[in-house]
Amino acid sequence: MTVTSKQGVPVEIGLVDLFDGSVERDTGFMAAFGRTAERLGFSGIWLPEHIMFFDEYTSAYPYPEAPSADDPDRVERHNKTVDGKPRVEAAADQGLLDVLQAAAEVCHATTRLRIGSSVLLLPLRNPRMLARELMTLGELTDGRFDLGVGVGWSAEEFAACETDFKTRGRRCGDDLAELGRLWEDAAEIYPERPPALPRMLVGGHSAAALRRAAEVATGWYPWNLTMPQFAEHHATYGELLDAAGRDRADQHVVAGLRFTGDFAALPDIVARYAEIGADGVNISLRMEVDSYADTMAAVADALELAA
Amino acid sequence: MDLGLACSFRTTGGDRLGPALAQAGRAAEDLGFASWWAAGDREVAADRSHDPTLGLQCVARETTVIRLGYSGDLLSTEVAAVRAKRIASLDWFGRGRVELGLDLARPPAALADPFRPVDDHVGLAVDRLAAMRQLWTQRRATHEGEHVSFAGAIALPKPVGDRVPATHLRATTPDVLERYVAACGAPHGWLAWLETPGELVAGVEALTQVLGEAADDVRRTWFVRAADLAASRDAVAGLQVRVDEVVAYVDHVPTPTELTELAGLAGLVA
Repeated sequence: MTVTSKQGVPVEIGLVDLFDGSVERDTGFMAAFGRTAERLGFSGIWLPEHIMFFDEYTSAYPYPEAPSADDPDRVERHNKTVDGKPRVEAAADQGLLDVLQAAAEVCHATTRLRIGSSVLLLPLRNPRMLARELMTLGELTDGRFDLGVGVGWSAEEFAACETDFKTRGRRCGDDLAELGRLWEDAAEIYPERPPALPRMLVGGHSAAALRRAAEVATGWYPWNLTMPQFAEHHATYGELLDAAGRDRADQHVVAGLRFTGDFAALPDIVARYAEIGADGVNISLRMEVDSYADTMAAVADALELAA
Repeated sequence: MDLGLACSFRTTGGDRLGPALAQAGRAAEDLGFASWWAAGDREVAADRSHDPTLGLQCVARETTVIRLGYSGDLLSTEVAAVRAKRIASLDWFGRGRVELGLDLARPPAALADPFRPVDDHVGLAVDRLAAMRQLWTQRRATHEGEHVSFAGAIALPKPVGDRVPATHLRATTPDVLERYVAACGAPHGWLAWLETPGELVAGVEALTQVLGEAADDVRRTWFVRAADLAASRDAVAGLQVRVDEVVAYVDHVPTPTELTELAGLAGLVA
């Protein structure tokens, strides 16, 4: 049975996975991956972003725990730790294609599937150049791109990208406001006849992230929250929307999680996120090149997605 | 001498951008154009056309041999590592055919990052290019510059072959060229964008003034308006300087019919 959101529409089920620029995940793979997801009834594919990785970090990865498949009110740790600090799940030589080009490629191979960033590191961008890219991407994809944005966690990455780490949250809010302004100011926008502003979802659940989501974005995209955590932060998000004079019905909330358990647990997890207020649920499975189609089919079957 | 094509990524007559680029890309390659250049950031801002990188990706998808050029990248407008990934990814999609043209003149205000004021845009641009080269070629990249610094950076994918894509410089003044050469060495190419024959010659003389005999190794590309293509091609033989490629610039994505006409003007079609 299809799970519906509080808005009365089917919950959008997205897959979080990556295209790394390797020989194995070439353009043929990207097309097949997208078409398979589309055929099986998934709503979208969401792509992570890092500009670079490092062998060693002083920064701790902030999402090492995910809701347990057995009891999503509790968390279980799935990431490795180094000297007691959690580390991001990444290969020794991890690559990631430019997220907007990867989105364009998968959209080209599909007709309905939405592609999102999970999440684009907004403080690293010049908002005026990004606006141009987003407008072009909107034109090339018929508006099928969703802009998930975040402020990152790696001080090393920010330093290498010429960006102050401590003020990245403020910068993110400024960038979001500038993107919105560029879309509204016909004298400055380019190209002519721009498509609609994409959904802009703010990742994270800090007080500042929730405020940015409620005040300047068009959605919220928390990651790895248990049901009680999601309920608590969603309530705060709703209060902040009310305070900003914005209507929850105009916003889009996607709950994302890393999932490693039995797929039979997914329907309950999705239903509980939806009951609290999620319009979509994004699932990171870290699928393998050789078995992704079977994995997608098993998840689609468990969730009874409409192909 | 090669003959290439450059255009702004906007369509005429209500055509959709993606299909128009796909059709034009295939036609340009079939007709024998040696290169397809996106207009530079400066022109894109002026004529409100679409993003050069995403447009070139559309052309890359439909072609296999035509060289893919970005004719005027304003490096001072964006973080080096972000730009490096963008170019490397485009080269991955283009299977190693991307060439990079740099515009070191001051960026238009419409493109400047409103939250990152820049005092010395030339110094920032050349430092960023040096950093990008490290990210493109080193497995664990290190760079220590005035504006950009990192150590142990894992930046993947890299351009095909872990190479530095051929890097062209838009014609500029001797003092700017000297700063570029001091930081990055001689450019692979020299781009004369919509210059008169006199400006083209003066630019190459400035190149020679700075590089000496090494200027002979720099590829010279002359962008001309499409309407001037035949005359410009014919004029090259009479110039006092060598030109390696003439590129016809169109201010929109050309239709296959327009491309066929251009190819005829260029002598590509019997």
